[in-house]
Amino acid sequence: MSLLRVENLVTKYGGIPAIKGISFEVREGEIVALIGANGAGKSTTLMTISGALKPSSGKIIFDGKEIQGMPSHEIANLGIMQCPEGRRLFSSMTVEENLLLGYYSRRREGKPGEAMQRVFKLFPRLEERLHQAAGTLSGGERQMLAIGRALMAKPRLLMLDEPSLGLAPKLVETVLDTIKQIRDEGVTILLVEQNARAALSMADRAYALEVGNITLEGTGQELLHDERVIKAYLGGR
Amino acid sequence: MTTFVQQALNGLTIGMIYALIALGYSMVYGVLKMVNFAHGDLCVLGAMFSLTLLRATGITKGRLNIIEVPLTGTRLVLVLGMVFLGGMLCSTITSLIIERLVYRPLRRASILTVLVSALGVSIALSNAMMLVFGREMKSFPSLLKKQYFTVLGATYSNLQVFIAILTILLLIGLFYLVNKTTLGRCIRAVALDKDMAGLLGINVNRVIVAVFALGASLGAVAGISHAMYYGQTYYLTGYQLMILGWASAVIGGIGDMRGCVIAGLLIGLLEAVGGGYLPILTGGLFGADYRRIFVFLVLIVTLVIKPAGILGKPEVIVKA
Ligand SMILES: Nc1ncnc2c1ncn2[C@@H]1O[C@H](COP(=O)(O)OP(=O)(O)OP(=O)(O)O)[C@@H](O)[C@H]1O
Ligand SMILES: [Mg+2]
Repeated sequence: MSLLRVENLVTKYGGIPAIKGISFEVREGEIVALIGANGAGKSTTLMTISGALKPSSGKIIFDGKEIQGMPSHEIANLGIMQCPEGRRLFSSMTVEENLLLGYYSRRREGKPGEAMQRVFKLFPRLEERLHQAAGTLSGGERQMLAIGRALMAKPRLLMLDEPSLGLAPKLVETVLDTIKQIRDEGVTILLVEQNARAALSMADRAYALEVGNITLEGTGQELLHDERVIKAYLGGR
Repeated sequence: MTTFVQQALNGLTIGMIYALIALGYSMVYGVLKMVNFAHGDLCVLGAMFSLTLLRATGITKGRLNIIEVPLTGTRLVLVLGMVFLGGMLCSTITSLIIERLVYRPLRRASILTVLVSALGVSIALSNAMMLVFGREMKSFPSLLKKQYFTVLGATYSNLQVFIAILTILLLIGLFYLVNKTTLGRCIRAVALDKDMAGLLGINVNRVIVAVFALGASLGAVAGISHAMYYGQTYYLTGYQLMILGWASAVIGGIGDMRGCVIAGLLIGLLEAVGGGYLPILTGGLFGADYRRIFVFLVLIVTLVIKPAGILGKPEVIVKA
């Protein structure tokens, strides 16, 4: 069953459409990758699903419920978490405070201790840096914190916008491994990546977005070996 | 020496009032990046409304609002509670109405639009107070039966002690709230990045409402303390409080709460000590009326040397 279904979604910035009627779905337990060049509309898509941008038409159905146009905090409370482009950490606040803010949507369900331990198991480094200001973390640690903060909310759908951006190749691998691990713990994942090769090789299914339209879709492996994808996103062979 | 101690004690008292006002400016600026010019008027509104309560309950009488039966014991506590909670409630409700009707629709408007609207709200509010409460200067009772202590030769009144204790308790409560509670974390998160706060499930509008309520409550306490201390209130006092509170917020580093408190105290001290010595230093040429010179001198020097304020860092928006 599809956890998230997007139908003919259009989002405009001041009258100019950035996504022009895209449709795709993410099924429970999948890793779905959304690839595309700069400016294709990937971040716009995620922000629209999260409710930070209002679509001008189309539907977003999460767990059988239409959520398009709902305010972002209500969407978050349904269990959709986004790790946005550029991490967007609260840099003057400590690692612990950032994580606690991640737990905000679950605050009525008791103490954050258990969620915190789960995050520390994935990212032991964060536990060592608990009282350090987020702004003073290294790039890799920041990405860990951004993902950790989103995981604190025990999301049903985790949307990651370019988690590998600005990381050394070795760290990229670690982050991508972690994403698989997170999926194995039962979190459905929608992954936006510039690093198309890495994204496609780990994705169950993938969509290619081109100037606001979805032009290709298939399993990760299919797209990884698709001539057009190789030419456009994988830099030829 | 005695003169100095005396002026310093007086300056600290008025400085605490400025600090409370500055915090209201600072917190609202923190979450909305706007100057709530109506804040000074909201402070006065608290005092005006509590005076109305005092008259309505027959505790004060006549044009001079004289207290005929001295307040003691439980009765004093109840009356103080009524005055402060009543004033806080009135300022808070008014502040929330302003937020909803004026500032919220302007959330995405240009800075200039918001600025002019805030000035408009301030004028509307002070004129509304003139119409509702009257255009005359009103005498405000100090409520406490006067007692004086001698500190290093200077006199310190029980009212000054009261204002100091009240302010310190409020500051401790506020710093605890902002630093240690979920609401406080949300306030800081909203100040830093509203969209991200929303993505985490925080209802940004509710947090902004909480900030307006906190600011107005502190402001009402400041306005009432100011009225008790000077024994009067006037519908145009808000203008003065706005200038001084805002100057303190800017000097302290707008958005930095510790900075606001330090700057508020500093300005109160400068005003009182400077005002006390000005006639002596200038051989009577400038009287104490010119005491604000010091405030603006410090403001100018701060803006030239450290535009972000004493403790402010350009990138940090709300910090306690
Ligand atoms: N706030 C905005 N105002 C106007 N146009 C915008 C805004 N944000 C994005 N756009 C435009 O919308 C289009 C899609 O942008 P988007 O950020 O979604 O692309 P993207 O696929 O995430 O690109 P990248 O890989 O560079 O992050 C671009 O043409 C961009 O210039
Ligand atoms: Mg993007």
